[in-house]
Amino acid sequence: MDHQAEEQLAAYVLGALDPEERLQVEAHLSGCPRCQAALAAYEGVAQGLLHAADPKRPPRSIRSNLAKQLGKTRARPSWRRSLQRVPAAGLGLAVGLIILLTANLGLLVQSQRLIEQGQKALAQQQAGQTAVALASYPSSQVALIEEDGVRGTFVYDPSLPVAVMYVWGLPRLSDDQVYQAWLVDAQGERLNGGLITFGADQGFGWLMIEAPKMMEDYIALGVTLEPAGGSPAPTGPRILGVDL
Amino acid sequence: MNNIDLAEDAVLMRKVAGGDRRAFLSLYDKYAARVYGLALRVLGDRMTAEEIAQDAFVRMWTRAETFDPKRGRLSSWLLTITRRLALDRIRFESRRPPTSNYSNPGEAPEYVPDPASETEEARWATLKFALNTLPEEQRLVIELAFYHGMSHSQIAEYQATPLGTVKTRLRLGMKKLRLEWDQGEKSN
Repeated sequence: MDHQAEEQLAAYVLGALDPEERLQVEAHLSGCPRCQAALAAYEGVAQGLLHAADPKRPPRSIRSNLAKQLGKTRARPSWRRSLQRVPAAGLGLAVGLIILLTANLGLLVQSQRLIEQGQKALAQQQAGQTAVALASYPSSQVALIEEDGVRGTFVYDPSLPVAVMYVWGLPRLSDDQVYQAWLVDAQGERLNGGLITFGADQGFGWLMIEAPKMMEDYIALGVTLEPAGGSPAPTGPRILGVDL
Repeated sequence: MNNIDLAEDAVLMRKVAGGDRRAFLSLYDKYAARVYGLALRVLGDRMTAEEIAQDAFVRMWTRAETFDPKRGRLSSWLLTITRRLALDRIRFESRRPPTSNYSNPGEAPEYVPDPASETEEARWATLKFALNTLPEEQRLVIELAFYHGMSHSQIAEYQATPLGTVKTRLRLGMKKLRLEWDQGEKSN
């Protein structure tokens, strides 16, 4: 796909692409800063279209229904507030240690960065090739991700233990956080699906999952916010979910 | 909407995430007309639009923690949720696009106090005007895609029009809207 892909971006933001076209655009976007910039411009138009519908005063019953419902449905607890309960002195010491270690490891990090960039480019290429290959399987399935401003595609073949996810629009993370994917089986067990990798500007992420079982053994995919390095089981807030 | 309003929304959303019902109802009063208006625009019938508007605000209550003010304004976040829920309903019920158009340019708009600033409102109005003044065939494909969740190929089938023609109309129409939108940004 060359830069004429830019012309498909208008259809992409409107949701007008068929799943395979969408997947191709996302695979291209993950490595093309020019198209990522063009996409941001079209996203502006889409936001404008959201606001272009005439406001209409809703019936009063909605407000009263909601007011009644609030008591039954709890707002999700905040992981940030949990962090605030850590004693300030302990937090300061931990932060100080991290800063000290970071300074001493600076040189090592610089040399490792080049290696990581190479590995990241290779992983991205592999994910793209796998996604396109999967999409060409007759029994492949594509689950669209559109949730709270996050957009993406999850492509998998139920009879294979491999899947690829592209995702766009996740909130930017600090260095001590990661997005971790989980495969959920019929018993509700969560299996680590890996950490989402991001491009240079952290706008576009991808993940290739190699699961121990066939994808048909899983009923859903979820993504949570976790501490750097990931967690053995979900601990942070749910960011998005896809039914398979 | 000025920066003070945006900051106020962020503060209220933090309170909502902490379970503050008054903060929630305050945001409801501010954005309910936009949410309901969009749901009505997508679905075309009042009863389902009411359900969707209510669901969108329930999501705002249960997922307030995931709102990040650095990524955009609350109205966009809330309207994105509304559109998503409405399109899911359309797909679930295999609905056809509504025959009544609640955004008909010929219809006198109902006056509803709007939380947006004059500048922001002007920009949205400009885009809406640009949409309504597009050649009809371009406007229709954009509306069918965005407000009714139809893909290129579904629009081609629905309109009995060649797929290539649908793609061209959508691309040309969106190019014009992007120009209008970009000009609005420069003039602000």
